[in-house]
Amino acid sequence: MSDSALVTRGLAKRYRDQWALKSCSVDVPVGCIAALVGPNGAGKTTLLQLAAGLIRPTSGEVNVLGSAPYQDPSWLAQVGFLAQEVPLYRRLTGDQLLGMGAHLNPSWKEAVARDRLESLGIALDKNVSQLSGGERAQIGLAITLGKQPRILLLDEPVASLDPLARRDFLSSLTEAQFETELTVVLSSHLVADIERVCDYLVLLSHSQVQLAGRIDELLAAHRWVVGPRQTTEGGLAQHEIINESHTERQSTLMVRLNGPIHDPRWEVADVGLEELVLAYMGRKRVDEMASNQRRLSIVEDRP
Amino acid sequence: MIEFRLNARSGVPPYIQIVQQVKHALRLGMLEVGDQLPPVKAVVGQLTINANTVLKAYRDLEREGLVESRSGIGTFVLRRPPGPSPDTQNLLQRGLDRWLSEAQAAGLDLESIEALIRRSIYTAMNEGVA
Amino acid sequence: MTWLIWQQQRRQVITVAIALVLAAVFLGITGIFVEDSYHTLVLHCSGQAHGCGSLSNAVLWGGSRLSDVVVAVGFLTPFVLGIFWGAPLVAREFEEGTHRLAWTQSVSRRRWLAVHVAWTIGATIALVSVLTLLISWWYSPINSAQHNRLGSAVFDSQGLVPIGYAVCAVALGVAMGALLRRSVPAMGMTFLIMGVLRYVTSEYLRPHLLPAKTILVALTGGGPAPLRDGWVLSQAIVNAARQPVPLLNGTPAPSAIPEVCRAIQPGRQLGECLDSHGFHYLVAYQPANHFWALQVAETTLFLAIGIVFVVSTFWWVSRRDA
Repeated sequence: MSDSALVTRGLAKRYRDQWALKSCSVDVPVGCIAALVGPNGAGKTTLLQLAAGLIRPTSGEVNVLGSAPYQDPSWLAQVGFLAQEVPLYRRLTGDQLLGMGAHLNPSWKEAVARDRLESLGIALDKNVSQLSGGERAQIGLAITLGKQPRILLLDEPVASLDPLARRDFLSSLTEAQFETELTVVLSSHLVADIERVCDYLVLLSHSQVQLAGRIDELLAAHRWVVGPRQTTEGGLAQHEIINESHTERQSTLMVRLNGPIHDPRWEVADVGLEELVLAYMGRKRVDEMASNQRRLSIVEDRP
Repeated sequence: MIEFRLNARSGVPPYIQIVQQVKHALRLGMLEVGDQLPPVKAVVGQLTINANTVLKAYRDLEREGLVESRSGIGTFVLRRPPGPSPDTQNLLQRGLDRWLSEAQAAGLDLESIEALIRRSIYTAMNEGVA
Repeated sequence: MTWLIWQQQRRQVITVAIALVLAAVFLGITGIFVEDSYHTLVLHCSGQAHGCGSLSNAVLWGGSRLSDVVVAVGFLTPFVLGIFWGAPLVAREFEEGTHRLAWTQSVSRRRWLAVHVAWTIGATIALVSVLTLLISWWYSPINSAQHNRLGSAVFDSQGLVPIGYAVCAVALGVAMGALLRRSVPAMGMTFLIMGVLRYVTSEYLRPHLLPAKTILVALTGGGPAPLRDGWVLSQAIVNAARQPVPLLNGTPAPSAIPEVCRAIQPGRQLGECLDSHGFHYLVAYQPANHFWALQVAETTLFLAIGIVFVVSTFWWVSRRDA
């Protein structure tokens, strides 16, 4: 069993009277590229900032690479973080920011950051304030990579990049993962990217973890189940129903398997990642739902 | 050396696509026994996919006895996938052609035929799971 | 990190250095004239009947405006440094969000803050020391003329206290920036709190930083020399037994003075009457030679307050959410 790169247990964060994150428990193994998915305001940024040690939990605990985020320089050297707004010192040039990376990080490898930026054609002698959003994002990413961390925490890192730059950055991540057992936790809205690049998923919605686990295991555990319209469970009682819709004659459900489906009335199909994500994001709050012994409900007809 | 291509919209998981493309290349002679499969790092960089995906595909191929991984060097082809003789393949092909004309005569268009074929394949693939 | 601070502050450091050189030139040139004036006047008045009493206004070449400017520069410099060097130090990081960059490199927040604060306060001490030396030198002829260095404006801009004020103001600015996380409110609070601290200290604390001396002074005639050069804190009328005489509407209460003097109207004659009965003024004052001791005491006070601000800043920066 591999080590965990990021473990949280019952992690929660409250700002005044609003809970940004409630009872979050995840376990991302070392060497995974984990996707953090969810609607805006679901708690993704909060989770990443808690992991980076920028904010402290209200309750619960978070552990990154075996220790709690704290201001210990040797821990900080292993953790790379890039905030969504890519904050850079605006009056400095790219060169000076790389210099900052070199002076503030003992594990800095200049070539990693500089070669990357030069091959992207980004001017390093201009003030950062004169660069575009995409160029600033590349500089921010280069600084994060140059420090050679063991885990990367990235808040929507590719949001402002063009498709080629996005593909290129994700390639850097996948190569680094292979060569150095780098762990990455990145928040993203782009399911196509997640499918190719990520092997772990954390889905946040309503400030709670709705789903977390290795992607191939999650996909293996869910099925589309289609069959004639039912008014009783129809042999699905033991499984957890994630999502359901009905027409006059047909019922379509997404279930989380708890054993095999024997009932021959049901036609079973695989679930794709995007479908899985949409189903869980659209789900009602976990605490509003009954246990997995649910009855099928009657919903209005579809045209 | 062959190059892989991923179809993100096909609904087929990436690692299966890689396995299929290796087998396809073997059947068509683009890959021969003793050839090296593309190194994981190159595939990972070129396709922008997770290394574990490629590793899983190569492991599956190794389990089927088609390839062998030599640590530190790479993954190499051991043998071609077993398959029926060309005669059997032709027989099966003709049987399929007959069924197709039956289906068309019965009034099915090509799309409906394709749907029927997909459904059968899926059922067959999932036989151990559902 | 020193490298980074230099990269960010290069321009400002050079600007301030140039300003300091210009100020030095200005003070140097005008100071020489002031000194010249003084020597001329001393030569002139030493031979005169009343001696060299209060010379100050006559001494100044260019009129008293010039000394006001110099005193104003000395007075304002700590405030300016607190507002422009102290307040934005941490506040700007929060405003621009760069604290999320700075505090996720491989240095702890404490170390980051320590290096920044050390350089800022170091630069403050260097700048204000040079400035204060220049101002003290510029003012020395006037000090000699006036014999009194304990008066408020004069005391505040010479010696050691400007360094104490500046360090305290900068520490306060940094603390306000760390607490409020916005530059402009931090600047405002720095100005306000520093103003209050300075006012309270010079009005209420300074007289008592060192035990005052007391002296009995005759009710008539001028004050003795120590009082001319010193700083009078209070004076009260006492009787022959050294007991204080209560005042009624500003004049000694009849019940406390000998019968013989009760009928006399307040004025010179009353003074002579009381004098003949052994009444005196009991004057509390700080003598001129307490100057350095008072300077050290007040500087220490402000440095101690500054340390409290710095410690608070460390607490806020390392314990609060980023």
